[in-house]
Amino acid sequence: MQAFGRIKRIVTASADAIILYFDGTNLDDANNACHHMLAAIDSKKGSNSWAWLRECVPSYDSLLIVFDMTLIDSHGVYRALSNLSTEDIYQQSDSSQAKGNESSAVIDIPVWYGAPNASDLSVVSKKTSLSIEEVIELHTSTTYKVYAVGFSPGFAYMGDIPEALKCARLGTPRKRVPKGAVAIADRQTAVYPSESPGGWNLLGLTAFDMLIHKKEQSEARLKAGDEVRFVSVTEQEYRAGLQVER
Amino acid sequence: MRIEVLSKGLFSLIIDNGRVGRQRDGFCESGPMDSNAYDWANFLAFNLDGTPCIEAIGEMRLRVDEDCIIAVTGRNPSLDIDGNAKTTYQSQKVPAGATITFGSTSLGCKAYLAVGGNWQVPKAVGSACTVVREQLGGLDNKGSVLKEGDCIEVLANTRNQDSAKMRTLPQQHIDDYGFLESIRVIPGYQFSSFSTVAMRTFETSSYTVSSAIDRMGFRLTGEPVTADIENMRSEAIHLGAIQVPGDGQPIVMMRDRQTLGGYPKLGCVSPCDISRLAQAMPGEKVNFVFQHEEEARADWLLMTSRRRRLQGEIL
Repeated sequence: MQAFGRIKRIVTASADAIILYFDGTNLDDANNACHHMLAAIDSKKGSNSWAWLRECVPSYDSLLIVFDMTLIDSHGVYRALSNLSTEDIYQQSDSSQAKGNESSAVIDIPVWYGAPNASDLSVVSKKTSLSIEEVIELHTSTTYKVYAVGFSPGFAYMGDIPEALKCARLGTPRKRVPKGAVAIADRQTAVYPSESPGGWNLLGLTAFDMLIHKKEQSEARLKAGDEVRFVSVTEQEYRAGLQVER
Repeated sequence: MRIEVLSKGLFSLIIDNGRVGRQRDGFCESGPMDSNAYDWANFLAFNLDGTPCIEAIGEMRLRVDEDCIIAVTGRNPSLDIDGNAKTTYQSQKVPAGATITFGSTSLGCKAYLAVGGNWQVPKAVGSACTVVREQLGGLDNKGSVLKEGDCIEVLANTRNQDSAKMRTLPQQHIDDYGFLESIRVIPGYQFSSFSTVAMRTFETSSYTVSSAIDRMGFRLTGEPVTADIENMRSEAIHLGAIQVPGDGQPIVMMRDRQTLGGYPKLGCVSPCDISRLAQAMPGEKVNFVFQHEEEARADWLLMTSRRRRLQGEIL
């Protein structure tokens, strides 16, 4: 299948799924192209001619499209995508950007750096040859973008962290990382939405809940494209935050 | 009606069709491991498609406090009601107070119990499916597996009970489990980054189902297959994707797989063969054969229409 627009490659994933890979001058650009396409597809959801659409799963620079094989084949999916005019895609991106601008100033995530059960600060300090203060300073000095949400519910992959803070994963993953642990690995940073195993370097804890809990429809609090900043808080402020989040 | 768990078996879950459309928030797809058996169980118990069911590994015992209609399916399933062996893949009337014992006679395989009626179980993110890792679904909606003493509320479908013509799936139409026939694989994802030699190796070797098999993925062992990729960005993992980490031992990603992952994938197990693979036992040997996506779709359409025709005949 011939690629078009910002799509670099279209590849079969299974009998009922194709995956699109996007191009850009850098990752940020490709990630934006992916989300413009996703928004354009989402706007068609519910229309009869798109009844075959089962699910779209975006990531850094790719978008998986799952379809109902009884209603369409991959060629039909390709036609539907290529018929999305550039206008569709741009309009969507404009309106989603406008929407984004209203609601989102940068989202602040308060972090108690060095919380005893979630701190690899000394390890990170050794790996990066930075002092602990410098590590915290660098981590809080950058505004991050949410590139993708996945792996587990609400887990947001954010980047890029400053080059100086780049840090390999732990040699042996932890069996238990506490809920709310703020972590870094390579050029990425994230918050563990719930207790789980994990191999990232931990910097501290946040009371910020990564899931919005609703009766039947919990959802991820951060969405791909959101902008995030980490703010250093004291243990007291962290504990007060836990009360509020509950 | 209350269904009380007397003996929980090895690993028993409340499941349904799973969560559709929420993988972008990180919620796994979930759903029945053997969707063919699950669909038949509901059909035979006079339920609508997608009604919750119990997926059980090991032998499970339950008691019902009202008359009801049930059906048990799966790989080599067994069923007895108050000590009397009953036919599986068939609607069975169960009197109030009776004890139902069911399971698969093959260790580690899944059996499905459908109970006709409206299941009063909590839903999370659009589904009642239990995902232990995500603390979702189950009776407490915290992802707990079923345990002794648990009670499931089902509003029994009384309308059918006297007049209903019991349904049977004839023996010759029950799925063939086991691996005399190869598992079909659609080449996809990073397929072109695997060498021709690697692909030949994959298609001509037998792989052994390891004991590391769960709802997330099935690890296989055998001739290593590696891709010529150093680093790739995490991307969405579809059902049946065959992931090959650095050691070259394939992992088939199943219903509760994580939504994103960064290992190279050589394609996906055909949707027609996922249920069969999901019922594999540790130690069984599996062969793979590549199949073009269009052929796989044709097979799937045939399989679906055959099932619809059969259901029409049974009705």
